[in-house]
Amino acid sequence: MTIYILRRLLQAIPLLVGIILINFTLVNLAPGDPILIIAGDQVLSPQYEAELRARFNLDRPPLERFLIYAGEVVQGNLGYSIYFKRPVTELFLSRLGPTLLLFVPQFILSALLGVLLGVISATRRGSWQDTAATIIALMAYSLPLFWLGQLCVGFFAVKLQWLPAGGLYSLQEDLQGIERVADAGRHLILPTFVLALSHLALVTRITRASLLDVLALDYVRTARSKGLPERTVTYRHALKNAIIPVVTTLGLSIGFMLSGSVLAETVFSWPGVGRLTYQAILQRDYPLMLGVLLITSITVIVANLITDLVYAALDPRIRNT
Amino acid sequence: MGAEARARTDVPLLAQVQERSALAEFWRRYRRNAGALFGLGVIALLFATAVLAPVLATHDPTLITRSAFDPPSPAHFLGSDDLGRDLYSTIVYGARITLLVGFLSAFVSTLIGTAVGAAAGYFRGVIDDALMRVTELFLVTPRFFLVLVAVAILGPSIWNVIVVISLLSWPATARLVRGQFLTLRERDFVEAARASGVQDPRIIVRHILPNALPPIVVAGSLQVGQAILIEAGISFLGLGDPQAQSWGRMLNNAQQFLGRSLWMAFFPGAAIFLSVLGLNLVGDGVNDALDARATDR
Repeated sequence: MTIYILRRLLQAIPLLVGIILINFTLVNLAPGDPILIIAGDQVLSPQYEAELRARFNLDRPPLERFLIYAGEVVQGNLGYSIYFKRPVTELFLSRLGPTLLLFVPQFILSALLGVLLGVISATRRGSWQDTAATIIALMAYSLPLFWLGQLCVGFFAVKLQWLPAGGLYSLQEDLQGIERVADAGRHLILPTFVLALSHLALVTRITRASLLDVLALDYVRTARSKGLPERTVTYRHALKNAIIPVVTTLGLSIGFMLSGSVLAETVFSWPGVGRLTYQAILQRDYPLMLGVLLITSITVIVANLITDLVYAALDPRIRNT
Repeated sequence: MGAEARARTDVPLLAQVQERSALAEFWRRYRRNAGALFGLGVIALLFATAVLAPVLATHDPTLITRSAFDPPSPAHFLGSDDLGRDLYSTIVYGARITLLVGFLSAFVSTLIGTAVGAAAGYFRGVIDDALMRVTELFLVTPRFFLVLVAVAILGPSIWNVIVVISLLSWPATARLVRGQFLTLRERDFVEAARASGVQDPRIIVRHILPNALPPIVVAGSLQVGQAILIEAGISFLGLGDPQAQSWGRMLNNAQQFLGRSLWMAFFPGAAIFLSVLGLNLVGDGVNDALDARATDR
């Protein structure tokens, strides 16, 4: 198992280098000469311009610049936001809390419920529950999430005024203690529902398909013919194998969710990483944009790594090859 | 030589007959699926709308009038927006942008994915390793983030949007095609072609690719829907082509008037939803029809 973990860690290194390379390429594709942007309206003397170029290493060849950039990134220095005038890492961390608050409960909820619905769907194939789950999953899969968010905000928040339209806290009231928590909870309902719906649909779909495949296998028939109760066969024998593709999907969906946070947090005015990214893009704040992209990419690599390790824990065949 | 000549005349005829009956069989299976037929209808409607937009539209979609925020009425079938522009006519013309972005970027990304996957699966070894590392890299980078950053850097034209979506959507197809090629290259007919001195590129394109095509088509049709959703997201954030009144852009405009006129958000979003649903139903239908044939054998 230790060897397996080490090997997976080593395999992640080229990915990391690749992602830094993509970032570096994008930085260099960005329009405008950085020196002229720094100078603004001022006219620079040739000596001073040369001095600035030397200071920011812009006089070096691209390969050397890439190595310098990669070195800084590895040390955790992602540069400095032009718009917010603060270090990118610091900004990111300050916005991470709300994003986790939005995504973690939703993720756990929809993963558990999705597996359950998938199992119901697969074991009662062709029943009305199965048909309903399949149709809802297909619809949720075809829906622009932010549109569903807009409709929910327009209907439940603006028209009926049942729930707040956006943000993490009510701004006009100065709430303390338990009331403050309850207030945040109310703000969480709509975005959690919208995000959970699409994720739930995905998990249900994968669980159903995977479980149907496994239930057709010989060992399941053997378990049944031993006289084991159907519930034991489904949950203890079949689901254990069927869950592996579901784990892959969960690992991959972390990346999709982080990407989708830009849309979700824009619709619900949520003060998280997605909105920070959106502001960075609108302000053409390249260091911030690319810094956030880099951090999210690394998060996805780590998530995939964890997925693989969960695999190995679930399935001895994987860790022994 | 004589045997080869005979084979050349015989095989196409046999293949033609088989192909025709396979196609008929495919359609027979496809037709049984109500959802798949519905999806096909939606896509046909979408194409018809795009082609006949000037005939179907009741107003000039860019015409600014004084009747702003009208609810649906005989004058404005789907209401009007904040500048008094007709929502129905804007949606009708928007079908063109949706189809252009959806199909073109799905086509290009499928092309790239097929080329990469075919090369990796056919040649294996170092080429496979290198190509799969790159594929994996694109697979782990959060795609929508990267699309937004790339569009922001390259500038918001519809062509840039298409290029960026295409360049970032191929990895899934590449993996699929590679898997197909890995199995197909071991088959006897490929061995026979290689033994009779057929060159690698010809084997890949003429011998293996036709056999790998069905799953590629399914993946491609699902990709169209994904591309439409990505474009809608870009435009919703106001980062799309300012010249193109796409459905996503209409949703961007609607965001500030959610309380005042929910129509402005409802109809363009419903158009996106219906189109993507139709494409996914067609993709699933094609997949099921092909799959059923495979399990029957």
